[in-house]
Amino acid sequence: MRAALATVVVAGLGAAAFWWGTEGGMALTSEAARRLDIAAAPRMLPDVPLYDQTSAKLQLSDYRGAPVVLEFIYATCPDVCLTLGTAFERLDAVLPPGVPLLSLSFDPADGLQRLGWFANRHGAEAPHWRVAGVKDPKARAALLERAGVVVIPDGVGGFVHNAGLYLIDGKGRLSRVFDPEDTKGVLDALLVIEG
Amino acid sequence: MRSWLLKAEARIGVGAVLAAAALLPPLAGLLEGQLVTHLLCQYPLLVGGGAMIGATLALTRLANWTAPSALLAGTLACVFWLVPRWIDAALADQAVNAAKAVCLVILAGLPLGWGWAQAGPVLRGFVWANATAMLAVMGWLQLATPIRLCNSYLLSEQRDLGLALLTLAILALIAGMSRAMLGQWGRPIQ
Repeated sequence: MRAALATVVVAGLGAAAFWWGTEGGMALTSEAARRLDIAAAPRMLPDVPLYDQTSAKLQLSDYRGAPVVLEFIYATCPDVCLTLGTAFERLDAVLPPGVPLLSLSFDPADGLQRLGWFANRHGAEAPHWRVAGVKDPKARAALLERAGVVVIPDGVGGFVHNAGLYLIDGKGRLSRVFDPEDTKGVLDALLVIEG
Repeated sequence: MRSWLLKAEARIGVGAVLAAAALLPPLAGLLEGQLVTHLLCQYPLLVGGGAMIGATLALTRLANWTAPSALLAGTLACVFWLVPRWIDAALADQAVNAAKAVCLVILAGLPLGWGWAQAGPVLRGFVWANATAMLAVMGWLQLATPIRLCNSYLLSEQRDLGLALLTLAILALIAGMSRAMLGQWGRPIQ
């Protein structure tokens, strides 16, 4: 009897621990946890200096005042960034002119030329759609850290990262993260913001 | 009596050394660098170290009734740290990694060793059969999932883990079957 009682108590404690550790079963992966956390409490992103494909210099904070759709890419990426680029092409066609797109490279090797490649491949035209890099390594690391972007080497010269489409609200806060192909989610969320 | 005590102390010592080895900087970094070695070398060292201590402590006291709850507690603590979110969290944050180590030694290893030592053959067989099935299911899940479950590891590492888990499941199956058929499996002599 006490064996059964003790087992039931342990099972209850275990269930409570799992409930706590997975946000009630909603966050089994760190990616799901990150998205839930950002949606619940939008994060202020650090104001980093950027340079875009036209060599224009700007600050991330220059975008404040209107929502922005952001993605993290690297110019020589063979797979997921192509999905991201294509998603931005679709968004570029339907977004209202007041909502800019920003493709941010996390690869320190992405100079002007490489940003240009990416911009040309996807038809990105500044200032509406900027393809930009962050020169300062510390600022770049701080931005990735705050956004919860984890970049690891893929073992064959490239990178693997938790890709997504990011919605930044008019106050400069990262407020939502969507799957790389979920342009509909981005549009619906923008309607809510603008609505 | 004297020699038994030394032996017990030695076993506790070995358990502590195993767990500590998995946590010291050179080895810890190497083991955590790959998904397979993280989960199938570091975790077993931590849990196994704790289990050696737990099994030795169990010699000092007969408490059969604690076996099911101890085994369940140990299993749940292991499973918690297999949730991809917490694997990632342990790699991203030293404090979480420390909590993982303490948890795997004290909340997983100790009760598993204690519970296994206190358990009778029926409970042991039940646990072994379930562990075998869960290893197979986890291995299959890793191979069938097209997306990365951990932000810190590559998809190819996930596949390696899947194959390794399936291999372990087959080994556990062979071990369990052997024990059932080649051991004292007949009706107990009255």
